[in-house]
Amino acid sequence: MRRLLIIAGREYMSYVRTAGFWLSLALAPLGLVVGLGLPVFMDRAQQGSTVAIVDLTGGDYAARLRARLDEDVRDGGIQAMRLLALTTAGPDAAKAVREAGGRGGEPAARAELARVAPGAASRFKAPPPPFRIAPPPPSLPGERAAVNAALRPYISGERTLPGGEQLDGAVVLHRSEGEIAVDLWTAELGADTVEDAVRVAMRDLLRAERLTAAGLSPDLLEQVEDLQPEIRELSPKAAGGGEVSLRDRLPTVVGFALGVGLFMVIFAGAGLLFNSVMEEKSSRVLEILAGSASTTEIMGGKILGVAALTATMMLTWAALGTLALIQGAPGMAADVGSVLMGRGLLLYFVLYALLGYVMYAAIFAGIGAFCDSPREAQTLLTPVILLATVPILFMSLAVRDPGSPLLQVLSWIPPFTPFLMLARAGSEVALWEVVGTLLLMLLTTAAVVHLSGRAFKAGAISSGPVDLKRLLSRLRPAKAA
Amino acid sequence: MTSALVVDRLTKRYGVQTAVNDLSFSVEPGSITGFLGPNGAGKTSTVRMILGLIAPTAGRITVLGSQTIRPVQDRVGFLPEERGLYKRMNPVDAVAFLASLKGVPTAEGRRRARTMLEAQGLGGHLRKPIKALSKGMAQKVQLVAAVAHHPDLVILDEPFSGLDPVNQQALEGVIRDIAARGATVLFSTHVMQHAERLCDRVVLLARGRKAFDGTVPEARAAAPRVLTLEGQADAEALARLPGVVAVQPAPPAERGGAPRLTAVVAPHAPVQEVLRALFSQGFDVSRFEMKEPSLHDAFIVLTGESLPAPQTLESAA
Repeated sequence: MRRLLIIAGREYMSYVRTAGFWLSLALAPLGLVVGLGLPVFMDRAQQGSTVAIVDLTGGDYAARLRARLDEDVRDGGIQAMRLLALTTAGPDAAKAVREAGGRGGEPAARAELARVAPGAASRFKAPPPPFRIAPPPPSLPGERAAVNAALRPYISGERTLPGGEQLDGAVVLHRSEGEIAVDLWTAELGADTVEDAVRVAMRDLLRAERLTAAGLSPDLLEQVEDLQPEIRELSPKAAGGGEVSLRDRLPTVVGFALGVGLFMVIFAGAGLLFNSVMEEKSSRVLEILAGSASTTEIMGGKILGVAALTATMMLTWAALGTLALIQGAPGMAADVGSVLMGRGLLLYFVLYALLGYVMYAAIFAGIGAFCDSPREAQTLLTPVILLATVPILFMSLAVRDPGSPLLQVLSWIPPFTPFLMLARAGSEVALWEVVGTLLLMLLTTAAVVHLSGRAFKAGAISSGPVDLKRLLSRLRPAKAA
Repeated sequence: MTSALVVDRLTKRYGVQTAVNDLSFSVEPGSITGFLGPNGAGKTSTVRMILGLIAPTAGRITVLGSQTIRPVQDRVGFLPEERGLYKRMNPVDAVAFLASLKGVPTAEGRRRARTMLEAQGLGGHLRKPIKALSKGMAQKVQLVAAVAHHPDLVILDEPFSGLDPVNQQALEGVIRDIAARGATVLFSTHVMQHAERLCDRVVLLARGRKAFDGTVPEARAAAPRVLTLEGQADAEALARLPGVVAVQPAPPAERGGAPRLTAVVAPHAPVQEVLRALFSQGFDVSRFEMKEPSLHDAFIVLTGESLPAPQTLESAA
């Protein structure tokens, strides 16, 4: 045990002393923040754009389009308030904000948010409009082709609006074969914010116009537009035995997230271990260690060292994530916490993570002990990697159909068990299945550790290229004379 | 006195190939024993079985009185044939880590590492990563790592391979120091000169079998000696002298010099008797020279195998 701990300590410190460890520790949360914030940054980047509306229809479509766009912005604000209420104060608060917005518009929604989630309301900022609408350039001709020709230099940046402002886009409303049509100018080929907003606004506007022309009264039209059937989703599995709420769905989502997280953690750890063993094998350090400690101590020490390293990173990220969730969405944090603790997901995670990590780490260490180069590693690892992709393919099925018989069968295959069982665990998996799969994993892990230990010992002092056949032959017990 | 190492009827087979065949020998405490043989003779397999790295097919090994290596592992030092250390570690950390596996507290291991590495002339390289050291320096670090825990039995597998002649000479000094401290040294090599200078005893191995086990003089005595004669001598008469097994003409020592003959004298035959008979029979010999056989010569005779030419200072220069 002393030697095992010494080897584990060296393994742990060899990573902790590298700049790469601290970089990955810091960069992963940073990457998450950037990943999550990227759509917001991209939206903000486009929010500064200026768009002009040119109306060649002879009607008042420009004013009506502008009014519709403003309304959509206000609706977006109400939606943002609803989401904020949902994450900070729960589904009931979100529903109240949505209903208030429906009744009294944006001011009513804001008032309701202040009532149900005062803290969140104080820091709420309505999302700015996706773009600013400016008056069109002066002295534009009255014919469509000429207007487009006149707009081109403004959009390309050769000319600016009278105030010196750059025009990033233009909406030219005209008639084509009697129907209202749009020519849309944008400075950037890939920018679709303006297109999306104009498409939705014009569609609603023209539908309303056509229905009004058909004799629908403006009041009835408004009612039709606001018509949104209330759908109650019911399930006997819901907490109250009736209506399904977000809280009911949360365990499934959390279970899936834990399954995916576990997959990443296990293979990141096993990958680190594999590289470490391969490095020691190629530099002949393994043989030195084999002269000073038993195979169990060497392999166990390395597995423990990398496990401690992985745990350090995982716990740090989990702590940062929890803090961020508590700060940003305390309601959601409380729900996730109750799911993790209440349904035993955290305990399952720990048990499946432990057994899954040891099983895969032992396999990777056993194979790594035979590899002197990445090329050899590629040959020997490919079957394991292919096997490991199977649970990833089926994990999403656990969210859609957790009771699927196929999923149940696959959950009993030990290499898939940790990931699929966790993904299913949020959907009230029977206790006997949990206990049974854990016992099977325990037995399989013990067998894998035993066989990998034998391979590790043979690999540590082997030399020359090794293929899968030779590796498997090393797993057989040596014949006594 | 109990032997530090006893190898008893040891056999190792890899499939149909027998690497070590019924090998027995023992190593006395405090001695330096050479384990000699050409590449592929079974030296490394034997060393690995002694260290418990591979299981014997048959036979028994007793290390420091123990039937298994495990209880005495901390008292054994090992330098493998293929060297290896953590490339990013510095020499002090590497030595202290390996010593800690043998039960030496880290602080003490670091202290010993510094002292021993400085003694090896590596004082200026203690903080450099091992990958920045030359091959010779790295080998010194590895040797220090093998003995920093003050083992009772030190097993060195081909310790001289890859070293230049100067470092080979330095390593001989280190091995003598280890033995002087009271430790037992077993080292394998295929270069006989090192064994000849260092060993109290040698075990010669050929094709997995023991060919000889004894002291260096005993090994040498097994080989014939060569007597070179300068002057007028009758080769046929010389060949009939007692103890002479073969006679061959040899080129003169210098241009225009007297003719020479070499007489191969049988092992254990008294050379004085040959010389006495030579003079009593009236051979006109102006000069004679007796060349004692080397361990290399003895090995060829004892095993019937040849060895690679040893590296000398001249050939290395």
